[in-house]
Amino acid sequence: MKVKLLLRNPQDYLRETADDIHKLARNPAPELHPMSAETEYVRALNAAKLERVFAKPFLGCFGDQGDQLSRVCMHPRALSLCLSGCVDGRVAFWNIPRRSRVLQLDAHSGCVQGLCWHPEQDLFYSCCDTDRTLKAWRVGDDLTEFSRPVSQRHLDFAPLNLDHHVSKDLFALSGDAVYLYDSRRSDPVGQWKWGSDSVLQARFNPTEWHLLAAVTKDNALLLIDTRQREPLRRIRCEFRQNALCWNPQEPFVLATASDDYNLYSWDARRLASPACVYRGHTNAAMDVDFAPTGRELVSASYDCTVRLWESGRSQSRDVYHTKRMYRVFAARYSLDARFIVTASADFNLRLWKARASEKLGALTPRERAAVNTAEALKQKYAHHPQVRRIVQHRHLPKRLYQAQLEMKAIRGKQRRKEVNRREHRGEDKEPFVPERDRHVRGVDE
Amino acid sequence: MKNREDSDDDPLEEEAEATMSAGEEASADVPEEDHAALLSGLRRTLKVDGRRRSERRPPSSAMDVHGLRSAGGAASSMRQILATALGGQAAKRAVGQELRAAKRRHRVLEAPAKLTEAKSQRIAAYERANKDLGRWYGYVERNRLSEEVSFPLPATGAPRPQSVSDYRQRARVDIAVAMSADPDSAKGESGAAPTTSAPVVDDLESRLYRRLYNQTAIAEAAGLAAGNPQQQQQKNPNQLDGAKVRERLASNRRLIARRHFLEEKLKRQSRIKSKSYRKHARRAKLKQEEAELTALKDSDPAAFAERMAALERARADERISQRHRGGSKFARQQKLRAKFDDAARQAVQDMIQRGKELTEKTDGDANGDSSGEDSDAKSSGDEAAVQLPEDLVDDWNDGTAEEDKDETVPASLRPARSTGLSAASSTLASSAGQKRQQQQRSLELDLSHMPSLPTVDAAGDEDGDALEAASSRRSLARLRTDELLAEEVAETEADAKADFEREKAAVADEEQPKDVDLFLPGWNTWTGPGTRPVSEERRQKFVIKAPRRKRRDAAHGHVIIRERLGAGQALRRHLVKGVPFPYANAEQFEGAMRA
Repeated sequence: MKVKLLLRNPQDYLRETADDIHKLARNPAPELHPMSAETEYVRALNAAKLERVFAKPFLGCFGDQGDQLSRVCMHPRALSLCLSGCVDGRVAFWNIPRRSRVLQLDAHSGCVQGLCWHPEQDLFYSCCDTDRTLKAWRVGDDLTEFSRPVSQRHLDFAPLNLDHHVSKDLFALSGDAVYLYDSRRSDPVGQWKWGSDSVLQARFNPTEWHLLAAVTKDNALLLIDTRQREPLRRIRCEFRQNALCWNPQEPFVLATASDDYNLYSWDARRLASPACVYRGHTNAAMDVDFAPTGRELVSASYDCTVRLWESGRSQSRDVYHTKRMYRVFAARYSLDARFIVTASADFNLRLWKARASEKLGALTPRERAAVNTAEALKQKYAHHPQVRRIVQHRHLPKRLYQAQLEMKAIRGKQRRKEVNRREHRGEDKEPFVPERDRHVRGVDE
Repeated sequence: MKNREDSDDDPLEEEAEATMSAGEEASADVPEEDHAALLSGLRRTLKVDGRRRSERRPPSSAMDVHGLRSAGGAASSMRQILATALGGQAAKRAVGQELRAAKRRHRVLEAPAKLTEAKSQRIAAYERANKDLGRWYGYVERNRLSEEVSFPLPATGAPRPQSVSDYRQRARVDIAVAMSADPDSAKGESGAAPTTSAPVVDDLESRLYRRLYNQTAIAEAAGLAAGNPQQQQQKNPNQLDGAKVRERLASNRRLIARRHFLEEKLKRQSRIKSKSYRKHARRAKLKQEEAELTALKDSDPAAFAERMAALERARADERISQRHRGGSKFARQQKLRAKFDDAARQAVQDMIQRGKELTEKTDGDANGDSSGEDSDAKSSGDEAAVQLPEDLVDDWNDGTAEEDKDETVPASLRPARSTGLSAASSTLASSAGQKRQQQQRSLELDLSHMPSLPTVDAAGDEDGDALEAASSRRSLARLRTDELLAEEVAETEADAKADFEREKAAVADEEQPKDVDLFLPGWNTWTGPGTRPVSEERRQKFVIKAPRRKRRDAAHGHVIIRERLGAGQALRRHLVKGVPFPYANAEQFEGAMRA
């Protein structure tokens, strides 16, 4: 006798455990779900709202350092370690997840201007413009060893910043010029200067190691090849660039933080104008850093905020502020691009999430699926006005809000005036100048 | 241009002056007139402009030190001189050609080679650097377009020190490594480049490496520093043997499981909603308590006394609360207590009696509503009524009486109220509106019957009596008109107010979403003539209440704000206005949204 069996897989209708939610059978036939589009839209709206509900980017404050913080430097290999430099010359060594200070040392007699790790050894360098010294510190086993520098170098110029070569024992000091030092030699290996003013910061390209970019006090951006005797090119900007950073994933892209409240990203192959102008801060941008993914930027500003940007989008993705955070002088991404450490004038180091609403810790597969679904929904409905409104909304302190309004009014006024002039004088006499071309005075070859 | 003219002065004059000064020194006796005549003669023959230039010359930046700069003016004058000197046409042409060629050859010199070379070198170097950077373009583009980005986190064991002690430990490992490994490789540079601290990694690669290069010493050192757990256990004197440990672990596990079962059971029980189960559970609990108490009385008098004291405390609490209900938890407990205490039994009796007294209905209560079902709430309400002082109650009654009296007064005589009028008063006001029109007419009539009032100019001619009479009439008329006008104004105001209120209520009613009645007669029941109508309670279950929206003009008595939020208006907020950036047209975008 032939017995017909109805074969069913218990996994389709049984729960894995008694605590699990009940499985619901769902017929996916589209004609049974005439309101599916509407449902999806509402789900997208809810996903956007929930993102804002869970947006808690501030993770913690590392405790009072006694004076304003000037520099932050992440460890090149360890996720959990960073250094901070203080205006009173102290350098502290932090454990980020524990928010505890591992060690602290009186490194200099003035403001710590440069801090950088050796890429391979447990060694870091610090420099100061007041005592004009460069010191190398070994992160050793013993406090006594740590409290004395491994080596010390007296400089005949005031160093303003410091950067280490990615692989070789070379570091670039910026002062009245850009100096390239070999750690085993007393005299600089190379020296570059264009113009009379001093250099604020010089950084190595992490991929093309021989390339250096530098920003100077006379509003210029320099491109330097360490194999050449002279800088390659000099871009004269409208305002001073306070800091710069190379994109770790895109070797020809660099970003600068400017005194005119903007950030600029530059394509090193086409330096006639910036590739993108990042607008949003309401005071000078003091520092900029690329995420290790190369897709995002973080900037620290004098307006007491930290802003996060997607590379190539002129609007900021997020703005972080707290009641107590004062002027921010430095911001750095962690190695896994998930966290940000900022140093500010209120003596504190702060830790932030790079994605404000991200859940920390392990995700169950179901949670992961839910997060992915929410992301996909938000992306799909990103152009819908209500979704966009919710996603973009940020509560700002009154001071910042007013400043933003003011800047908006100023820009609107300028634009209106331009349009009027163009209409009055004609297109040929008053041609339209795109935003990108307004910030460069000229390029010197 | 001026500089140039100044610097390129007339050469002839210069020459002449030079010769003159030389001549003056050599022979001072040449007469002045003769010299002037000679010069003028020369000028005439040579046709040179004889204007004197000023001696003072501004300092010129373009110093013609090496004579590199060929002077245009000088050249032209020289050409003239030569042309006149040579005379012939053919010769002139040749000379002209020569001069033109010379002029062509004379150009402004290029910048020194040193400078241009540096610049060209810079440009060339920049182009080379561009080329180097450009090689990354494909990689970058691919990276930008890819969904996921992989960025290099160092795979080698990065240091993860937590504190100073960790560092010490790590340093010990380093030292051990340095001592065991090849001395040349471990020795670092002196000064700024100290010893490399090789992190000890225990992954497959490093194990292979160690096996290949026989570096077991490193692993050993690492194990030593990390503190091998087995070694540590051997050192521990208070260690237990395996069987005991196992036994202890098993008992622990049993305990945990038992606690878990109990928790689960309680959780399950707490979720049961059945009334009968609850009743049984309650009774069982009471029985258990009773049993416990009887047991305690014999076995542990002290504990028994304590329990009784607790019950006494509960009783005191109940007295304070003044609830006096028979079926309360307290009452049940008191009943339990009464088994052991006559006084307690009496207390329960008293309490029930008191409760009855308090909840008894009193006749002649004007405010009392007879349909109250909740005796508890009612009793408290009655108590409040009793506690009200007499005069207050009188006041209350007077107030209501006055209100009633007010209603009897014609609406036209009542002063207009500024507060919002009720529906009843608004109807009154509407009737007042009709009256107003009648009175308006009567007012006109009255005024027409009045004797014509004398003007101010004519007043002087009238005699005193007439004046008096006129004034009295006038005052009377004024009085009457004032009265009427005041009445009129009050009425119109009240009327307008009422109209406005009515309009506002209508607008609010119109804009308020309506309840949806989903009740269908006969659904699940018999219907038709002769059947029992469905109860209102059941009917109301099918009515979906519309949300009560707070109106924006609710706080403003004199304003109507229309909130015309039709379906289209509400939807518009959710619609995309234009075609967003990556899409070329609306069809593309719609297609993307549909997918």
